Amino acid sequence: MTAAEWIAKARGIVPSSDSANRILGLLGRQTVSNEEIVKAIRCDGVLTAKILQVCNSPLMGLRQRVASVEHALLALGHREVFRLVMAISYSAAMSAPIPGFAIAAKEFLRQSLATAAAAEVVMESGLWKGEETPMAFTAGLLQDIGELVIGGALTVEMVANMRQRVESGELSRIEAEREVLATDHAEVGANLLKSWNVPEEIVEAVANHHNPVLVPVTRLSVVTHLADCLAHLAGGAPGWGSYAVRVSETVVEAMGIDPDRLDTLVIATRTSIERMERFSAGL
Amino acid sequence: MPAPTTWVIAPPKKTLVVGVADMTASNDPGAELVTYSLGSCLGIAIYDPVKKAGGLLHVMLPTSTIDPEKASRSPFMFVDTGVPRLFRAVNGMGGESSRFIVKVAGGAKMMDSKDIFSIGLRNDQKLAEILDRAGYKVQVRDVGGLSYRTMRMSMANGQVTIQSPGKPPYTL
Repeated sequence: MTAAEWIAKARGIVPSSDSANRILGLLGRQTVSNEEIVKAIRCDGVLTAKILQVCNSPLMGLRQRVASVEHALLALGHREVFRLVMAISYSAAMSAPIPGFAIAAKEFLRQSLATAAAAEVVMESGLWKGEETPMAFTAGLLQDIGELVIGGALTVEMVANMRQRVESGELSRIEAEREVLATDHAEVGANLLKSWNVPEEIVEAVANHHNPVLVPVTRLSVVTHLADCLAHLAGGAPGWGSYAVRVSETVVEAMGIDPDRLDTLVIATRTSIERMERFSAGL
Repeated sequence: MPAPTTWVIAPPKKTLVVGVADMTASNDPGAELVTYSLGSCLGIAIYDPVKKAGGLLHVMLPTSTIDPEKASRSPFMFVDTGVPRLFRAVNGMGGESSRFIVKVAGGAKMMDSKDIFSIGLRNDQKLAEILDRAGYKVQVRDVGGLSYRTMRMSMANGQVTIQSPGKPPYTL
């Protein structure tokens, strides 16, 4: 089956809302006003209600009751509201269990948010020179979305074939997917996001997160690759063979990552994941 | 005064969840200690079968010298600061060090030819170094592999069970 055929077979994966894409576009700009963000959020009644619900959850620890999107922006800031918008937009689809990979309900969402948190750590670490934190967060959140598509439709034989190849130590999990399925979750995920009109930078980051692009220019997939590795080390990755991920030597060398640098990044990622877990508990 | 509950089936276990970079000790034989999401992290369980006292530690990184400030706030994040505290906590519940049974699980390994990302391996080496210095040995271990684990310890008998995704649980 091709990537497009896997996508056609998948049911119940809801595309991201137009408002989420609009807000993503706004926050990718150099300057954006509160009014513009409020306007984009208000167009979506469900999103607005959910933002207020999460803001007023005791886990957010806000002293005052948040009664409007404007108030939420003032209380939390652009970045936190943006995180909320993205997490809310994708949380329903990502909360489902993925039987083919033995991932329980909510585990996939937890791991995706952890990777998004790790992507922010990479952006803030100075390893990456771009200024696209919202893009990196979203790319981290969505990088494994292809697993939702594939994992829901795998047959018992396909799983057994892939597991045998991974558990023998012969192949990484994505390599086993490619060998058995003739496609992989990165390709399927990128195709899915393209069909939802998600920005091209994010599609690239998802498509290449196991094969990051450094030349001729460094792309966002370098960030998602590192974020994926950090989230594995700081938060735990669900599913069988989930640690069968090949770390890119080229990226490690280019970024000058040694064991001490890595440990520091893992600590920062853990802190970021814990903050993320507090807010996602209200989703 | 309400009548005491009579259980026609086994009473529910008290489950104490140990988070990432966290530790819990208990001497309640009705309790079970559990830690989830053990990836490259290590789960270290100790148990005194006479006093039925034990503890479970979930450590992330080998040495605290990388971030002393973090270690002072979160000592269970590191092997070198977490393990001594685990032993002291179980001693504090009446556990006798000479009777401790030590079991270890976790340390999943990513595919990294240079072993920089092999934090599980470094955690395991640091643990061996600390235990060796204190004259202890790990009795049973399930370290390495490619999947994450859930680790449970029954405080009734110190039995440790491990579960990985898509596989049945087994006794360590």
